[in-house]
Amino acid sequence: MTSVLWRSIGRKEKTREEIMMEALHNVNIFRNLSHKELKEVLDLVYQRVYKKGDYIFKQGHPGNGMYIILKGTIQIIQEKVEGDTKKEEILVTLHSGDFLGEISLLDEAPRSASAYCTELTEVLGFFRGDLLDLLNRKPELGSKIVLNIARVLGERLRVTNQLLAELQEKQQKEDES
Amino acid sequence: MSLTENQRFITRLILFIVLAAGFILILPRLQTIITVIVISILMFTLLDPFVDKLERFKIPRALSALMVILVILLLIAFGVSRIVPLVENAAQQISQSFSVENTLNDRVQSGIDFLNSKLPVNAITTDIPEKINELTENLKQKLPGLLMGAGKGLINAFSGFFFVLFITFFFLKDERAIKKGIIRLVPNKHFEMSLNIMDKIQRQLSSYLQGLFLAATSVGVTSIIGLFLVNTIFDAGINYIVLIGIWAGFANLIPYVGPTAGAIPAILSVLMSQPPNTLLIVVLVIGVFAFVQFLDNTFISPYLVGKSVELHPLIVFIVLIIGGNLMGLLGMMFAVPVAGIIKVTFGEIITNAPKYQT
Repeated sequence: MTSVLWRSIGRKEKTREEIMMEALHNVNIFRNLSHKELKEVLDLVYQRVYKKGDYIFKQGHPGNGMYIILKGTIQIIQEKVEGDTKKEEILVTLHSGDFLGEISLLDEAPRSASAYCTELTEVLGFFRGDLLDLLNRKPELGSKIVLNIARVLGERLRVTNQLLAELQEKQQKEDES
Repeated sequence: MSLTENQRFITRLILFIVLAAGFILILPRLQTIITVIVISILMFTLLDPFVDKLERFKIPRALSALMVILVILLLIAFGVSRIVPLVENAAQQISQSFSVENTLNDRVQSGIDFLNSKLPVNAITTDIPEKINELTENLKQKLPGLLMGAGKGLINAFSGFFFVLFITFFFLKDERAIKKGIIRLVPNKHFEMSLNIMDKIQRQLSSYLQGLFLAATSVGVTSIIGLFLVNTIFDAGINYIVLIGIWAGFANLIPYVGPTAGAIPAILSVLMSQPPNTLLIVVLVIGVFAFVQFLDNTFISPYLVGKSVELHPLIVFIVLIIGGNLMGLLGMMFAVPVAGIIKVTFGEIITNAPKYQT
């Protein structure tokens, strides 16, 4: 009896909102937001359901915001032209809890790859227009998010620089030999 | 099979007829609703920045929206309480001007005598005073009717305006929920495109309409200052300066025609009050409005309104005619802003939709 009660309590499902809040909290640019602040962001995001075979966005289209995967699987596909042949390369496969496209919150550069749903997929979308609006209405929260985006960009830049330095060093050694 | 097809065709035909009839019946009523909604959207666009500013101070959005609406109500109440007596006084003065028939007749007659004495032949007929009498009599009889009509119009405007404020409040309060509701209707294929274009349209319209409003306000304020200076320096005795300024500001929304329309009440005011140097004062008033127009065209509108929504003069005239036909003077005033909205909307769609192809 006791174990049954315990098990049923343990199995209690989270509310819809709690699931989405947790998903937001796991995104790097929202990680240091308070519960109240996350709720503010939740009011701004769009919940969308995509069928198997749908594209969330396509390579070359203007980027407008980021997506957080609540459920399902997304392949990030890059199309490359080799001579007369178009070749699709799967860069990465993303699952529940993953997120994509957060750099599009800053500018409208074309997407560098397509996002393809390999099964029924549910996502939350957060977009640049709403971020700008948030900066206008709640500058502290908006600035926090923008600083987080800057931090993510900074980290990626450092990693890229490090890789570049290693490659240069390797190239130099090969030249010497 | 043949019977089924025939039935389907008849069903569709009946459905089409019913829908068409319904639309035709509803359209006149829809016009009022559409008018209210359009004005509400304009009001929402103008007031949204203020609500955002209040929200910055940690005031909840609903409360911010309510505060802004209340301020608007207070301004309107104050304005009405000040303007209505002015309008009544103006009407009374007009009536009195008409009632001083003898003086007017004497002036006209003396003018005619003067001209006749200078000309070899009696070139001017002597029945002009009679015609003036007829005119004044007609106006005497029609003026009460006109005022009554204006009163009714005012009442209608007031009730309509109440609806406008009500709808505007909810637009301000639930802006994001409404936007989400609209976007929810969009299929996934067009989701990001629709959202992007909607954002761009909203941003452009905000700056455009706010620019228009500020430009109109600037024209009004500058006109008031100019007329006040003329009054002070030349003791012109121009009445109702604030009222004239407000009218000039609104009239400025009508391109090309508006500035002239704005000046007319001021000139009429001078002619009615008959200051010592009437001609000089009239010239000065015209100069004031010409200067205001110069400022508006050279500095104010280019800076505030920008050229992204500039409309071709031919389109402006067509739009003014349409607006005037639909809703009279109010239609003419709103015609250009509405045309600007349409241009921005379709412009953004045409510019950005192709980026999402293939």
